[in-house]
Amino acid sequence: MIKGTIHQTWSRSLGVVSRRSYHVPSINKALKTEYDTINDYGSYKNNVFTHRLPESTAQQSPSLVALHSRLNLPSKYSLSTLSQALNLNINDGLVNNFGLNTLGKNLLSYYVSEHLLVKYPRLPMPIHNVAVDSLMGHETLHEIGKIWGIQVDSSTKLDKYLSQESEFIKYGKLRFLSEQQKGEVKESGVHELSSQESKTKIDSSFISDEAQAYASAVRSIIGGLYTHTGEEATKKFIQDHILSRKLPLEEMFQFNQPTRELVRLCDKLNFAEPLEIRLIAETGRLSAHAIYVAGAFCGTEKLGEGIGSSIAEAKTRSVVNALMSYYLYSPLDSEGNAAKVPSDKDYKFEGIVGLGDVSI
Amino acid sequence: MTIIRIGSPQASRFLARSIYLHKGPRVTGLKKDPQEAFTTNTGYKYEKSENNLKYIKGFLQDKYAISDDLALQVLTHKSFNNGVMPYNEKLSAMGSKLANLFFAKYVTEGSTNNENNVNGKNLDVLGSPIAKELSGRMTMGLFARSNELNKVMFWNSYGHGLGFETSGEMKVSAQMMYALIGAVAFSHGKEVGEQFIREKLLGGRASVEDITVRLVSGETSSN
Repeated sequence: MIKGTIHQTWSRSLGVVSRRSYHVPSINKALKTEYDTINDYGSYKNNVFTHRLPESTAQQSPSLVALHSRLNLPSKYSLSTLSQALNLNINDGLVNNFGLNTLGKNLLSYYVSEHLLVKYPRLPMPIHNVAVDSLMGHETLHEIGKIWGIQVDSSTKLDKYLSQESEFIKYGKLRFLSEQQKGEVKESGVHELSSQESKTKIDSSFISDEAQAYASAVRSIIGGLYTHTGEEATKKFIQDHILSRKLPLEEMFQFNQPTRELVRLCDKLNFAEPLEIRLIAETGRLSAHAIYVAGAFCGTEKLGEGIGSSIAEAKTRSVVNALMSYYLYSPLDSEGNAAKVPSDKDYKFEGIVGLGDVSI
Repeated sequence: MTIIRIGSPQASRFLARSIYLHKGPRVTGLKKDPQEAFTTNTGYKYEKSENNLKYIKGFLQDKYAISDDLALQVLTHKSFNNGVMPYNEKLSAMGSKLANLFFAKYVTEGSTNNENNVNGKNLDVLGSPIAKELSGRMTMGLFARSNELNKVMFWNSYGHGLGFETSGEMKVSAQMMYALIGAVAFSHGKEVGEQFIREKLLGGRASVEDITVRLVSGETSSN
């Protein structure tokens, strides 16, 4: 039976007439997944993988033990899980990091979104998305992975043999390259895009396979932390390593029509008085370098102030200042501290919920 | 002599204009009559009335109750009247992330006989269609429909008469469901938000799990 036919038949039985365009996820046949019944979640098994790395083998990998110590992971976090988090290969029999990566991604997405939605509830959605990307995007996680000292396993079996490298070393390295890719001769300044890299190409930039592999490893390490220590410790880890990074939000804004945006915003907020942009002060317009100070007012309330070398500049700056003050507002709780996030203990809703952007 | 500044409140009182408010199909340059603009195609007027909020209030009951303002925001989509009223985008962002996280934990929390488990958690299930679709848009949209939660929603479609999916109703209903989860999490905290998903979305009749199984099972049998 064709997928669309099943869906349409069932939709009609619910009184819905629809044309199929929604894509229901399909199973990845390469994983050779078997299960008893579709919702018997414990019975799922990907037969492409034969085993996990034994803990006794993992303990013999100096690079793995060093990474475990460097990240200050708890002793409950097994070395075999850490090694699994670094494995992206599908065909070497060892379980790869797909599941850990999915778990880590969900945990990261939630805690990063929660942090931004509570701390900056009025951020416009495009800025919110860019902020999420700067905290947990591929490039950021790639950088974090490098800072953590994760190394790529890039030497071939022959290289390892010739240099008498212990076979255990590779278990502490990031494994995503095939033997063929490892053996390819690299030309300086020339990079042949893989099929995956080609998909991410925009103009002259692309997300490299290496960046994606590093990002996947970082997410998987977070997922592994959840499986061994639970959610509270994972949240703390995310706060320490991801949310603690400086986020230059004010640099992410670009206003094309700031005055119009502020007028629409005042409308949306039901301000009784109309928006006015007034000149507050000037150094004297016949002076050599005149400076003007303008303010955006709503009745007697000053929304923003700006300084410029022309009246137009000062007015625009005052409007932009008003918009930035609104968008970057961060709520405080009754004790003057930053408002708690929903996952905090003794959470009480004291912040605000964003009302949505204005359309220009 | 009294001087009235242009733009001041006094001026707006004296210089009030008569504006023609247009009813019917949109005409460029004409201001729409708010009475009409704030009414849905099914005749529901945008307001915090019992009639508008009864479906989601009945679903939430006292245990997961949210404020009327938040409830109205949950029901309002960005498309309604050009997003002039508070809409559910941010609530939805919160709810979808919480739903994804909850269902990822839910499918891995049970016992397993898979020897490749990680500390007792079977992670092999995470790439499966059912694990992906449990918090999917189609599932959430159908759940909202089967529980009559999308009876009153403030949104605009380019074709309200079209089908559930084609008109955009599925997408808007799903977004409303995510927003509902987000609103509960914002109001009561993450733990209660997860409890809400477990009790109301997984526990009731026509649960999210039943819907997903039916959605996905056709697909797996065809493989």
